[in-house]
Amino acid sequence: NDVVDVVSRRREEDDEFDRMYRSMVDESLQASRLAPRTTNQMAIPMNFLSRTKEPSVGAENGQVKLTVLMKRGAKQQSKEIAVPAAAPLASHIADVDRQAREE
Amino acid sequence: DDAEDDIVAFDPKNLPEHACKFCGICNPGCVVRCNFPSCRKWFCNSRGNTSGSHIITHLVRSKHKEVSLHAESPLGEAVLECYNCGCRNVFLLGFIPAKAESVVVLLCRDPCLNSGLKDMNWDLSRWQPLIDDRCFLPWLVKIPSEQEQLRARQVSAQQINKLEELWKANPEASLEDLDQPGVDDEPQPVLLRYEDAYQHQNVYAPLVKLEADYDKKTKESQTQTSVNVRWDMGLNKKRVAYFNFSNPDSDLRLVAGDELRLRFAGDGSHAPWHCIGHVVKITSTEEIALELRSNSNVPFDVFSGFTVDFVWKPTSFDRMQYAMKQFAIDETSVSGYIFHRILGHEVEAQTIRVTLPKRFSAPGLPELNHSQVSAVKQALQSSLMLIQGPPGTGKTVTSASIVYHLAKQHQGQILVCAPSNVAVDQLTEKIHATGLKVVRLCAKSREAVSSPVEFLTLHHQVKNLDSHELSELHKLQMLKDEQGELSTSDEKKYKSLKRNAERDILHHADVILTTCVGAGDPRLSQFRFRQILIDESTQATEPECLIPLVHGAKQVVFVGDHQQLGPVIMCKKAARAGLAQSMFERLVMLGVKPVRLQVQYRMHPALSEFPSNTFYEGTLQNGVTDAERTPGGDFPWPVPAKPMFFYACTGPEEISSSGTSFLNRTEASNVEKLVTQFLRTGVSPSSIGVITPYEGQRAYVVSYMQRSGPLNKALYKEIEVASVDSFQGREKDYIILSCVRSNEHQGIGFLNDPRRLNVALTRAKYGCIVVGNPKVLSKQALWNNLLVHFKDHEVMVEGPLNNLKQCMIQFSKPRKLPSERRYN
Ligand SMILES: [Zn+2]
Ligand SMILES: [Zn+2]
Ligand SMILES: [Zn+2]
Repeated sequence: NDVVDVVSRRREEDDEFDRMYRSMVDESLQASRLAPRTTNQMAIPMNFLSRTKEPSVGAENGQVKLTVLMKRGAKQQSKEIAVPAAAPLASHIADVDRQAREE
Repeated sequence: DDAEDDIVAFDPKNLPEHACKFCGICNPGCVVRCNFPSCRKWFCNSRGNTSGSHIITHLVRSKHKEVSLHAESPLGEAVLECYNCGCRNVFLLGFIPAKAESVVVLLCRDPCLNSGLKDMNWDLSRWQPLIDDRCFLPWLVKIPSEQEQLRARQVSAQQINKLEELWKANPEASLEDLDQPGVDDEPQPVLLRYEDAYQHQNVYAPLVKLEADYDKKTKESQTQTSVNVRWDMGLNKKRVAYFNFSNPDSDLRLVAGDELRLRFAGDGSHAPWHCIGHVVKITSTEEIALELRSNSNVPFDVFSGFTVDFVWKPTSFDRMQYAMKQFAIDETSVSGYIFHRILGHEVEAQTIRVTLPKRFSAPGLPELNHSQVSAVKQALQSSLMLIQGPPGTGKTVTSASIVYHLAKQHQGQILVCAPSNVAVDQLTEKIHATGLKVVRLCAKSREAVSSPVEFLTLHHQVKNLDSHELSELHKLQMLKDEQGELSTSDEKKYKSLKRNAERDILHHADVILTTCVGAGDPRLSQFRFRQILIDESTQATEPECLIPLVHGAKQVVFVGDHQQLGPVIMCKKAARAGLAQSMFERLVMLGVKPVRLQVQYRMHPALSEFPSNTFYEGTLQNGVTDAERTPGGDFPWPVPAKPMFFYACTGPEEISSSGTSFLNRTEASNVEKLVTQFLRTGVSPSSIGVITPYEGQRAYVVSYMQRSGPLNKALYKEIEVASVDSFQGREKDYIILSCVRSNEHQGIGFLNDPRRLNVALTRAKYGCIVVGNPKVLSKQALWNNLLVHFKDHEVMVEGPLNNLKQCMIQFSKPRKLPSERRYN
């Protein structure tokens, strides 16, 4: 009757993994609270603003396009990525987009 | 079709570097690289057979935290890091959108998100964690298609764990290395039948050893430093130290009788000092009272800076090993019949010819009902008897009545045991009530622990015997109490006088009661017992049960209930191999049919219906009527004739601060409201019990009630909040069960054990409330049945307590219920 063994073992492992996962998050949070604060480096480069204002990101095939802004060293970089329209971030973007178009 | 053929079936020899180290999937959009310097392995974002995706499983198991994406992924080769501060810990990262753009960035939860970053461009309230439900966001790192997953290497959670272990020693190891011998050394599992007692011993001895090693390791790791102590002196003139010894990271709870070592490193005016003592009391504020063995040099003018270690003792495990050995080598340890029955050999059932008593009820005890009489009758006539006592069916009274009649046969002294001290004390009380001469033998370390049957204990009887020969013993005892110690020659004399007195008292008893482990006490080594009764035997391991039996058992009565919780085994390996299975349970599987006590006197009939149907084939009858168990006061029972309900609650679970347990704040707040409502309707706090399977929730509920309960704080303090296990064998008027677990993908943990659910549901006399998330709980077949039961009775509710409404939540489809059988 191996199935039972596997099922109960699986549960134990799920439980154990869950605990390990949560303690990873907690440890990380605790460690980061001790980390030095950084100042605001969040400015969006101007050339981005103008480019992304274009109302070109409407939902297609249930997907919307998001621009992910990243830094490589000191340089900003951006890449587009398709996100399901139902994802929490995307639904917000769709709203923003609709507003932009209405304006 | 073509697309399908593009995906090549798994071939371990022909994989690119970026293939998932677990399953081999190598679609660049689906994998990420762990950036830990000595690791740099690739993993995919599919769950396979694990509860987290492969990459998350790896990061958690190895405690690595940084990753980068593949060059051919939509975002290109990129390290995932906080846009603001550069933090690369993926467990802290999440996306935030710009307020007016379709732009997102990664931002860490702490410090950036939480430090009040002021920036008009970003919508911080929409922070979305990078890891959701133990996977990377699937639009960032794709989840491989079902086709890809099917063609990938099928790897189990255990294989992954083992590989992770191997990587610690050898980062280059692969799954193929797991097949090497020696990596997987599961012990031999228990059997249903054994050729001989040597085989029995060969199977069990390693399991007992595993459990002993595990126990030693966990207990010895409990050392606490910087402990504050306050000092007191016991009536026996021994120093008592009071201090707190709680460790949020462990489930170890001290019990009276445990040994601890108190240490002081020394300072300018004190020499280094250490002394061992016994826990004699645990106060309501969880303060430990430790009675020290010796009064010499105790630094009782020091109050802080102490260290406390747990002193692990192998006694109980040694006694199990010894009993198994006796069982194997000593032909007289048990009768031939008992010997063969225990090993599972075919032998003809043996009945004993006795003159049955006219009355089966015993003096001083309640009248027996029909099924109890039948159990007593059969017990007197059988050499080996199992009695199953479901909750509230009068197990103890039945056991005591059997012992009474056995004693009246005058075949010698009777040994009565149970695994726990509480159970032994209860039995002692009941058997004493029949007028029999009983002695309760306690472990030496528990002599200072108060008990309701103190006057029946051996140590008490020795101290209070009044006769000529004993005056010398008393004199020495008083001297010892006064001085703490005796001279060597006096100590020798004292010991031998005491030994004689003990032997005398034990010899004159009709019944000797002790725990199963206590039956291995050297003071009983010369005693033979033909008739033995073991209560709560379903909570004892098989080797534990053997300790009393090898005193010469010829007629054995096992009382218990294999539908309630079994023995607690801490070592998972040993538990998996079957150490958690009681002898009672194995005998049932061998075809010994237990006699079941059938009338329950505890629960309101509405409360016993589900347990009876689910765990006892509907045979449980009610010895109490609705009227006798109708709750008073005006509590908002949704259906007053059925004092029970399921209170739907969908708050999230969290990990406790120790990181090893769970809690659920919404449930805790609902528990407080329920408790408050009970108190308002006049229920006494001592008759309310809150059951929760997790230590994290237990601690949180206790502190939440203190913090937020609107009534007198002292009332909440009296409410017992404890685990299912610690409620076994007991009852309360009202029980609130807080389930805690509430998540979509992970299991419901402890609540999965049907026997634990049975115990939880059968503690209440008047009313029972379950607080939990129906959507999550309904995934498990047994819980699904319970929820349907509540729904059918229209007691599945939600909303504020003063306005409970039927809960219309759709249940999930249950997974198949595993069968109970454990043998192959
Ligand atoms: Zn790694
Ligand atoms: Zn994988
Ligand atoms: Zn940051």
